[in-house]
Amino acid sequence: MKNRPKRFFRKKLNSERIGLLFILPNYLIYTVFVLIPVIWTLYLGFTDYNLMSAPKWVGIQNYVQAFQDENFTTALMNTFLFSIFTIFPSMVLGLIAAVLLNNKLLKGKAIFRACYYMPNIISMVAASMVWLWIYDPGHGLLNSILMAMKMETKDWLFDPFLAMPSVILVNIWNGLGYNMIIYLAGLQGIPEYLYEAATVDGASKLRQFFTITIPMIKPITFFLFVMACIKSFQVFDQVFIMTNGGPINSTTTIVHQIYQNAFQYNKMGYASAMALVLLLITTTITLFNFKYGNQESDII
Amino acid sequence: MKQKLLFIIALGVFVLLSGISLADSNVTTLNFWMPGQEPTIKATMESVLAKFEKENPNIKVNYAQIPWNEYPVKLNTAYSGGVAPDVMGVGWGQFGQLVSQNRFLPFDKNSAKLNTKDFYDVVLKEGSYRGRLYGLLLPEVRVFLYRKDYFKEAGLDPNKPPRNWQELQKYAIKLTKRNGSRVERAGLDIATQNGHQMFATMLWQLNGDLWDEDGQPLFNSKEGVQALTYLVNLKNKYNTIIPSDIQSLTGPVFMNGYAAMAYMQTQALPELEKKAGDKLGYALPIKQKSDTALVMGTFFTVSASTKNKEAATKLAEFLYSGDSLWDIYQGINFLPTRKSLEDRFVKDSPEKNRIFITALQNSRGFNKSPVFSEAQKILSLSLEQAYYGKKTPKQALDEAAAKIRAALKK
Repeated sequence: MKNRPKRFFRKKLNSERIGLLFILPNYLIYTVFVLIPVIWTLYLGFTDYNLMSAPKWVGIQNYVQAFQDENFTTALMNTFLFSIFTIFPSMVLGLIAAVLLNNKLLKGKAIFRACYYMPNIISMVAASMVWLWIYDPGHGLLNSILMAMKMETKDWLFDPFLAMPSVILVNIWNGLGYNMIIYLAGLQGIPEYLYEAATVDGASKLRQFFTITIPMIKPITFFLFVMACIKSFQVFDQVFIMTNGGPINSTTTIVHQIYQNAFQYNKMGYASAMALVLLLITTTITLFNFKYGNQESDII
Repeated sequence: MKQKLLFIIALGVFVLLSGISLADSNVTTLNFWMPGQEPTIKATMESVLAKFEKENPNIKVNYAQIPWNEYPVKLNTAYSGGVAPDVMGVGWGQFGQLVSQNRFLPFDKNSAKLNTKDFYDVVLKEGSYRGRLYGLLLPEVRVFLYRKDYFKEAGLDPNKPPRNWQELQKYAIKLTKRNGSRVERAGLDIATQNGHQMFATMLWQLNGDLWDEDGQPLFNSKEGVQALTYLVNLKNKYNTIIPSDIQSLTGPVFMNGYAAMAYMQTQALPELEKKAGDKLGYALPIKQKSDTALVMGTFFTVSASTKNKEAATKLAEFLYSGDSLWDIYQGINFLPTRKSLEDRFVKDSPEKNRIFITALQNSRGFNKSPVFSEAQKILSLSLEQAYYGKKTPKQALDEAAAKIRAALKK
């Protein structure tokens, strides 16, 4: 009788140990490849480090310099613009495509699904190469079509006003399929009887969409929005390949600046400070989303 | 019985391993890194290294080829982690930065094997830092190339390339093919992004310079403003170019047949000749005040941290022997830099090689700078601002000079 609690705790401890043992590899990998580098980056952000000599403590100088650096402030602004003009169109178009594909009367759904989703599974590097050719100012596909239609052609990636919209378009094209697939799964999870009841009450299709569909997929929208925010703030591949930040820094982004400073100018300390600013931005946006964008949903 | 058998097996394994380690203790292993992504580089370098290993059976070379875009990162990380390669090829920017940080071993200028007297002056000058020779250059010189077929099409003599800037401008206007206001074929290939090499090419022709030996900017001089104004006018006033990025993965405009004239590096020739063949014309840089060519390329260097100094130096010297240089020229199109190879080189392709070798002998690279990569980027950005009319050439160059000076102070 006396030994009962002891035995119970011992049993519990044993099962906990076994559980811990099972998750240990995962935590080890996470610690070595994520946690330690993040802490190291946090430290480097306060140092002057060029990879060659030992890091030299400089306090908040890197952060002060970052916000006085025209390139970095431009990159910040560009990243915000890129995010705003990528996330919303991509989600809206993804939802429209999902609603259309959810229509029972539509034939060849599988082909449409594959066509929309394909850009998402193609490597962004390969996709960027294709778009480079499409946007080529001399003999690109887009200008050739415009010429055939007797319309004015443009220097898409070499015009400071058009370069960013051109890159944004590629991103919308790339992200649309993913949003569509996730929304489609959400739409198929909405009980049919809700629509039947609304039809009986005389609600139009449009009314049904705004009063049933949109509220029911709110958790999905929230999930996609959070993911899109994080992803778009980390945009790099397409910028690096298609424009390398140009012309005149009109497409440079935070990660592009981090890359340039870290790996081209060897300013590891300065780049780490920029990386931490990016971490703070994405963390803040994510927390803000969880606080205000996730009410009445059971996603977390 | 079982134990005896196990003991005999263990003894056998021990003897075998001892034998291997004894045999291996006489072999020095070197790590050699080469930047570049072309398969031809790998094939050529591996064949040259195989010859070296045959000549030196006690030295084994591990060859690694790393694409240019990853190379600076990997090399810096290797130095940082204390695992730098013993011998390596480095680009112009890396050489300037690393040599100023004492990352390379100096070569013995008096080495009989190296025989430095046989090298062109430019090779010794560009590979030297504060009076000592640290790198041996595999050069790619920027010569003037043009399309003879486009010249004919425009009513120009295909055997008479422009002789000065006035003629170059006239030719560029004449050779530009437009559809309305749209340039379909550029008169002259001017990269609007990462355009510092084209700017330097023009600056050399005015006897100007980018920066001095300490990296202090000189490009905002009268010559710099004149060169940039000339290029900006070709874009904005005369509408003769297709905007482009020299580092674009789709390749330079001239390479794709959409420009009539260009300054191109000699390394691009095999690819160009495949596309344009006998339609290509070759000439020395256009002489305004001078016809000095811009030379870039890859340096062979020995790491200061090598534990096998003797073997590493031996390998570097072998790579710079006449035979190796010839193999490298044949395989990768880097110009051979020994005077003793000149006749053989010219005979190999008289029309163009005579031009290349003349250009090489009268060529100059960028001065070293402790902030080379950053300075390049700052300058390129300022050139863009001038091309896009955001700033006047003088404003753009003055601002870039101020930024580079600030970077040097840091």
